[in-house]
Amino acid sequence: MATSTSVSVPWPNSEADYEIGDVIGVGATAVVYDAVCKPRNEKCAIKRINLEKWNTSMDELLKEIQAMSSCNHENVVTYYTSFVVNDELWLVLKLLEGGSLLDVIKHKLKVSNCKHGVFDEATIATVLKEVLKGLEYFHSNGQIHRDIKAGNILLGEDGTVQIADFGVSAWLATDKDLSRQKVRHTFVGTPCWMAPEVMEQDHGYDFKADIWSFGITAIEMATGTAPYHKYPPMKVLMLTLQNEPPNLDTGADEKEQYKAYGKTFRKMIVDCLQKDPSKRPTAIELLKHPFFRKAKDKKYLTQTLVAIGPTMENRVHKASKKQPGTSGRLHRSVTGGWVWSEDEEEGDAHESDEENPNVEDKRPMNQLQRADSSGSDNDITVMESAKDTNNELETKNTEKIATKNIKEESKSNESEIKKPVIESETKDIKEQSNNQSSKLVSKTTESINILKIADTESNLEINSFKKSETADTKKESETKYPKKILEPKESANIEIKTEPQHTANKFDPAENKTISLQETKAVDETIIKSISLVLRLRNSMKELNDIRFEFAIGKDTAEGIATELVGAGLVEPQDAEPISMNLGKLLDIHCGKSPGPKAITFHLNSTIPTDAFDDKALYGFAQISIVE
Amino acid sequence: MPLFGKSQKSPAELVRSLKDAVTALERGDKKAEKAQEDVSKNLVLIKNMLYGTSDAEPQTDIIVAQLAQELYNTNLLLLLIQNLSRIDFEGKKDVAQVFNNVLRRQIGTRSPTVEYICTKPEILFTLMSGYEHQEIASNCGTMLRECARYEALAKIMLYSDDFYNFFRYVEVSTFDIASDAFSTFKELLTRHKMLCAEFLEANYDKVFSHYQRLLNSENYVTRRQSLKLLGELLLDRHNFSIMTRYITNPDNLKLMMNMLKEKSRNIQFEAFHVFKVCVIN
Repeated sequence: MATSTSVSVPWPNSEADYEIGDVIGVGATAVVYDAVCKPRNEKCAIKRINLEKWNTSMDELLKEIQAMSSCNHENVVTYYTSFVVNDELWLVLKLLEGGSLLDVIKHKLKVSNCKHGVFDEATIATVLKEVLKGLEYFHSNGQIHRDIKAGNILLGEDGTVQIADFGVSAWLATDKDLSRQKVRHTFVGTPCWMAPEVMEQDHGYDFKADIWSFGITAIEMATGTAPYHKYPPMKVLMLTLQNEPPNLDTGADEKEQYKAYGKTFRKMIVDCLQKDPSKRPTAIELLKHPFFRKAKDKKYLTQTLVAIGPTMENRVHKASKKQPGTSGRLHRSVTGGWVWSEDEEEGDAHESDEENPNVEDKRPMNQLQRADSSGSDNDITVMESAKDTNNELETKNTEKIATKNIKEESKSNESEIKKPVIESETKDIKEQSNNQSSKLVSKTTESINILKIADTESNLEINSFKKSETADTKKESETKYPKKILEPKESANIEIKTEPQHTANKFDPAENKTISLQETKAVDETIIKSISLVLRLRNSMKELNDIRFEFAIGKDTAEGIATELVGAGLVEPQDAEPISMNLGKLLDIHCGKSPGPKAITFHLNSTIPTDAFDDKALYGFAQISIVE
Repeated sequence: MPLFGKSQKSPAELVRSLKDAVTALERGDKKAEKAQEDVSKNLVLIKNMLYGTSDAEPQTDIIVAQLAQELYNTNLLLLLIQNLSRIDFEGKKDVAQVFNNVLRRQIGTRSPTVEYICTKPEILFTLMSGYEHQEIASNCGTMLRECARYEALAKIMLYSDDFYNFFRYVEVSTFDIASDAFSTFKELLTRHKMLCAEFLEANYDKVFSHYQRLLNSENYVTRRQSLKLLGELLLDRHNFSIMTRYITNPDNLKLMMNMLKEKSRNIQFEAFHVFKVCVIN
C-alpha cells in the first residue's frame, strides 16, 4: 500500500488528474514520464506500461506492483497508486529528479576526465550505504531484487537514494511465505551484474545474488562501467564463470589506473564478489564494513552527485537512446537455451549507433555479421527471420558489416533470389551461401528494420562450456519490439551432430534440424537416410511459419519429432498430437505403404484468433509436406 | 529486526499482551500511540516464533501449538483482522504472515486452524470486506488466497452473498487492488474443481449475469482477465454442463463474435478461445 501521507487527498486514479510532462525513461514495455498530480499539486513519475505488448500473464505484472507496494522504506522507490487507462497501465511513483546513478556516471564521464575513477570514495560509500539499507529492507521482506545496478539506483534532488525497477524482483518465498521455498531457479538479471550462481542455475540462488550485483555496482561507480561491459552477454557469462572474480582493475586499460582507491574499498568489493554465495556477507553484515564509515549524509550527495548530474532535458534526450546490450534480460528458454532480450523499446538502430559506436562494435549480439559459410549450401527459409549457416572453422573470422548495408543489400537482391515456393503473403528471408560471401536477402511485406546476428564465436564457446550434447534450440524473445531481430542459425556442422540453433523471432522460429550430418555436400546421402519435411503453420501472431526438419527413417519417430517441436517452443503442446499423427501418415505415404499426396493439411487443436478457419490460408490448419 | 532477548515470553503471555494492545488501539484513546508500538513489537515476536530469524530457528512444535491454541481461545485472529487498518505498515504484513503460517499448520492430516475458521466464518467475511479498504486490501488478499486453498473455507466463501462483491472489487480503479481481488476470485472459481463446478451449476444464472458485466467492462484489464478466465472455465472438463449451458445461449455467442472484432489483439485472442468452444460443440 502507498504510504499514508499527511496530505488528505489520496493519489487519484484518473488520467485527467495528472498532467503528463516529458519522457524520463524508456523500458522494454514501458515509458516513464514526469508528471504533476493536479489535485495534490505534487510532482510524480508515471510509468506507462502498454498492456497490449505485455504478453506474459497479468500476474507477473501484479507481482511487480505488489513487490513495490509492500515496501515502505526511504531507500526503496515509493509507489503511490496504479490504474488502467485504455490499454495502458499507469503506475504513479515518486519522482526522483536526480535521475539514475547511471545517468550521472555517464554525464560525468562525458564532461570530465574520469580516467582515474568517476567518484571519490566518500560519495561511493554514501550512495552504497543507502542502497544497502534498501537491500536489507528488501531482503528482510523476503524479496530479492535481482537487478541491482547503477541504472536502477535513483537519486532525488535532496540526495535521496532509492532502489528502483522491480521488473525482475522476485519473492524468494512464494506468496510471502518465508518458510516454503528458500531458493529460486529462474534466470534473470543483467549479465554484467549477475552472480555466477544465477548464471549456473544448478543450485538456485538467494539473497546473496544481490550482494554480488552490489559489488559489481561498486566497481561501476568507481570505473564508470561494469567490469566486462565490453563483451557480449554470452561472453560475460563465460568470463564470470571461468575467471577469478573481477575487481577494480579488471576493466582497466593501464596498471595503477585506479590506484587512488584504497584498501578498505577494495576489500569490500572482494567480500561481495566471492563466487561462493555463502561466503558473501549479508546486507546487514556489509553495513558494518569499515568502508561505510566513510559515508556522509544526503547533503554531501547533493553536492557531489545531483549538482553535477545531467539536466532533466539532457536525460530525456538520453532516455530515448538506450544503449543496446547494456540492459536487458538473459534468461533460459524452455529448452534450456540461453535467451537474451533487450531492454529496448524502440528499434532505432541509428540511434544506438550514434550513442556509442564503440560499444556497438564490440557487441556482436547487436549487429549483423556476414558469415561466410562455404561448406554449406543449405537453403533455409523462414518468415521474418534470417539465419546463416556457419561453419565452425569460419566463425572465428566472420566479418561484420553494418546493419544498414545489409538492409540495402537485401533489397537489391530481393528479386534475384526470390523463390516461388513461398506464398505471396508469407514473409521470408533467405540466405544463400556462396563460397566467398553470403548474401543476406530479405523480402518483407512488413518492415524489417534491423538484422541482428549473434557472435557465433562466443555462442559456440559458451555452448561447449555448457557441454550441450543435445540440440540446444535458442529462442530470442524479441517480440515486444517493433523491430525484427535476426540471429544466426548454425546448422550443418561437420563434427557436431546437432548444432545449437538460434532463431530470432519468437513468433517466427524456424528449426533446421540436421540429423546425422556427415558433410553438407553429401546432400544425396542425407536424403537417402532421412526425409526433409516442412511444417507450415501460423503462429499466434497469424504469421505463417515454415519449420523445416529432417526425419531419419528408423531413427526418429513421429511422436518424437512432435515432442521436440513442442519442446523447442515451436508449436503448441496441444498440437503435438495432430502433428505426430499426420507426420506418421505422410511418412507411410512416402514409404509406399499407402497412396496419397506429398502434403497433408490438417486441423490444429490450438488455434489463433481469426475470423474464420481456412485450410487454404492455413487459419486453424497446418500443412506438412515432403521436400524433394 | 530488533527486540531479541525478550522472546522469553510464553506464547500465552505474548498473545495476551498483543490482545491488550490491539484492544487499546481499537479504543483509539490517548494511549493509542503506545498501543501501536506494542502491537508491532508483539507481532514481530510472534512472527519470529513461527518463522525464526536469521540467527534463530523457529520455535518447537510444542510452543507453536500453544501459540495457535491461545490464538483460537482469545479470538485474536479475528480481532487483528478487524483492526488491520489501524496497525502500522509493517505490522499489517506481519499479521498476514502470522495468519498464513498458523493456517498452514497441520497435525497429521488435520488442519486445526481451518477447522477453527470454519466455526468462525466471520474471519473470512471480514477478510473479504478488506477489499473495500485500499490500505489493507493486499494484506487481506494474501490471507484470503491462503484460505482459498482449503476446500472447506473456499466453500464458505463461494456460497456466501459476499462472494458477489468480488464482481465489484475486481473492477475498482486501483489496479493492484483490482488484480489482487481478481486473483482471489479466480482461485475461488478454479482451485477445487468439483466444488467449483457444483457451485457454478447451482448458481449459474446469478454468477453469469454478474459475469456478463465484467465482460462488458470499460476497464481493459477487467475485460481481458475475465475473458481469459471464462475461457478457462468453459474449457475445463469438470465444467462441461456449464459450458453447454453457456454456449446454447445465442447472446453469448454474439458477445464473443463482437469481442473478436475488438481492436486489442489480446482480447481477440482470448475471445477466440471462448468462441472456438462454441463452434466445436
